[in-house]
Amino acid sequence: MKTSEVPGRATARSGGLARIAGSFQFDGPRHGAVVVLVAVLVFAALRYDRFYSPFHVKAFLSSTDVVCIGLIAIGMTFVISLGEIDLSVAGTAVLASIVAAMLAPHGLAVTLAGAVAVGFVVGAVNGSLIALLELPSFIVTLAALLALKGLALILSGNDKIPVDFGTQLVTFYDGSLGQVVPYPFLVLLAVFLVAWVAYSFRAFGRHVLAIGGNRLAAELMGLRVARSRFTAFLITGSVAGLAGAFLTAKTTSGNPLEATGWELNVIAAVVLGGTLLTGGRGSVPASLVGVLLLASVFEVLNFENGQGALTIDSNWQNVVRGLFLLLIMVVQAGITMRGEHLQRRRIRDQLAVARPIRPVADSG
Amino acid sequence: MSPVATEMQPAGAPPTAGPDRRHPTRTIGHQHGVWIALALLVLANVVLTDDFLTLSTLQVNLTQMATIVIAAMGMTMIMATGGIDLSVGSLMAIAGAASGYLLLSDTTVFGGGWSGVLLIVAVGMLAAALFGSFNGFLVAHLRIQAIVATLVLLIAGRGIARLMTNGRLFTFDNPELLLLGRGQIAGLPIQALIMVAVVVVTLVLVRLTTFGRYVIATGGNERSAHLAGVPVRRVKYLVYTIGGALAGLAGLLSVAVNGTVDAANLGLGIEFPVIAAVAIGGTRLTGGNARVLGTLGGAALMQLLAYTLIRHDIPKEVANLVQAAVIVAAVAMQRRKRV
Repeated sequence: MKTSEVPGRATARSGGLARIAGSFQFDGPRHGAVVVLVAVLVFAALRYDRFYSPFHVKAFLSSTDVVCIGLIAIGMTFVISLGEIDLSVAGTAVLASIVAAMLAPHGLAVTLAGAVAVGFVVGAVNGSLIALLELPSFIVTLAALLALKGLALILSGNDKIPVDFGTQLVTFYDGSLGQVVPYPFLVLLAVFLVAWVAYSFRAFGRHVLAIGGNRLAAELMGLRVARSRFTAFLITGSVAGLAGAFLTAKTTSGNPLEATGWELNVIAAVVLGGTLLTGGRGSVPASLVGVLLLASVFEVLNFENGQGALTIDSNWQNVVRGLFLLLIMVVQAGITMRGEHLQRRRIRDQLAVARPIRPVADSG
Repeated sequence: MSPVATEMQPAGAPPTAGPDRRHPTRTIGHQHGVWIALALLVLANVVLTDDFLTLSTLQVNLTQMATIVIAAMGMTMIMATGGIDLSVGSLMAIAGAASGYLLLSDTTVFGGGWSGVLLIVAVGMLAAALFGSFNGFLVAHLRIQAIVATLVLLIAGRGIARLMTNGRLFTFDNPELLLLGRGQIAGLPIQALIMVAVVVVTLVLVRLTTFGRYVIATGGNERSAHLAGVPVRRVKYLVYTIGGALAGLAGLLSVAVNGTVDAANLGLGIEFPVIAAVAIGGTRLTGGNARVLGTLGGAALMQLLAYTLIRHDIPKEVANLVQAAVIVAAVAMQRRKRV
């Protein structure tokens, strides 16, 4: 008992750095992802000469794994924090991608507006069914995925729609700031900032977390639950629409068979970031970290393949991808458990500090 | 500490289980929405489709849904604990690949016959159960969220299966195994009989055994279940293992139907129809209830719908739209009224 008192008091009394360190709340899943991301990036720097070359940085930051998955993951953070899920994002993206390919000759603004509008409408339909009719989001969005893929096939006439290289959409996507930071990545950053503010510094984000944490309590508190849930699906729909336009730009075609499995990549990224699927806890920066983590791990694998150190055929590649995902999760699980352990110990230490003041001392 | 209820509510959710005295019609819709939708679809078919009420219609539909239902039985238990298994399709492929080793050599080593088939099935199910237990380990012991934990095997599992078969597709002519997939007893496909047996066993397991109560308690409120003495970890570990074994059985049946082992396509994308069947059946994704018969109804509804659309020459893309609408409608019927 005596020994555990000392560190608690020392942290509280000494100022400066120790105080900051003392107030630092270790949040296992979130900080675990950052630690692993840094480790992966350092590993890449040490192992590959060209990983941080401007050319590769630009290629990496404009890949669909970063831009499209990132955009959707930011939106998905709201839905998952509510304790809901949106499986329809890949369908939304692919339908928006077809629409964007059709609108591409009419200029950038029209194309992006059209794609986002598609996503907005999809989000509104999903949101109405889920928030107003109280249908389970998993089923509604699963059905929507099926329907949207069907719509994309009908609209495209079951074929690719090519997009001209000279269209504003494609030149915008290929453009970059100082040959390093691609414009689509800047768009991602802008969306990220807006979402971060809305999530962490505005009432909307608090409402989302409150509803995700305990819906009944949120209702009894008088929060407009239906409205927040509806809005969250509008957000995922809209960002998925934007991601669809960027997909068209990246592949210079609207292809109804693209974007398969995106929903799982997005969910994996959000969860790796540390957002709880059961709702009530999450953060937008954490989701971005999750996206970058997943993308850089896959990129490292590509480099490993390209270096010829080990040539991996596609079967092995999937096995290795799975194993990497596993490795990250196990490391994170370890960090989480360690973090929880530390947190428990800190609470115990604080109790130990408080105990002499309170006359009743129990071992709880 | 209260005894374990048959159906538990997650914290914060309004009470929904049990007959609602104030809304008798809503209760019927809630409890039997799937069956009402199914009955309506059958009626529509009787009127609209030629030669619908024949034995061959029943045979075709039962054959098509058998693998999905068998895999969905495991999924029902997994989802009842609040988990999910995205890797079912990959587990099916692994089971097929594992049995492939025996299929290539069975005529010489086991002299064929039913004992050989039994061994093939046992090995396939065991292999899939092994990988399923790996899922269980990740979820139960490392406490990784199920949707990402099983994503690992969804991605890697098919690669493993293809490596096991060297990426090749091979055909076999084991007569007993083919009979298992294509044979009939009293006009009913053997597959369908196996399906019924699996459903009955699952029903007994969920409704009449302590394990079943544990499953539902774990999904209802894991913490209170743990405090009440439910071995939560072991329960979770076991449902993924059982789910793996059943996915393996489903995989072997589709191998038996096709007469080929094709690790690249066996069970590819089956996770969505399986999960849809469970969810349409009324099992909540958050866990705490297990509607075994509902899952059967959900799978039947999806299958009959696909069959109806194909029979009326509706293009696949339009069929997708119709299926989506019916899924939503079926779920809307069992909508729960919120307080």
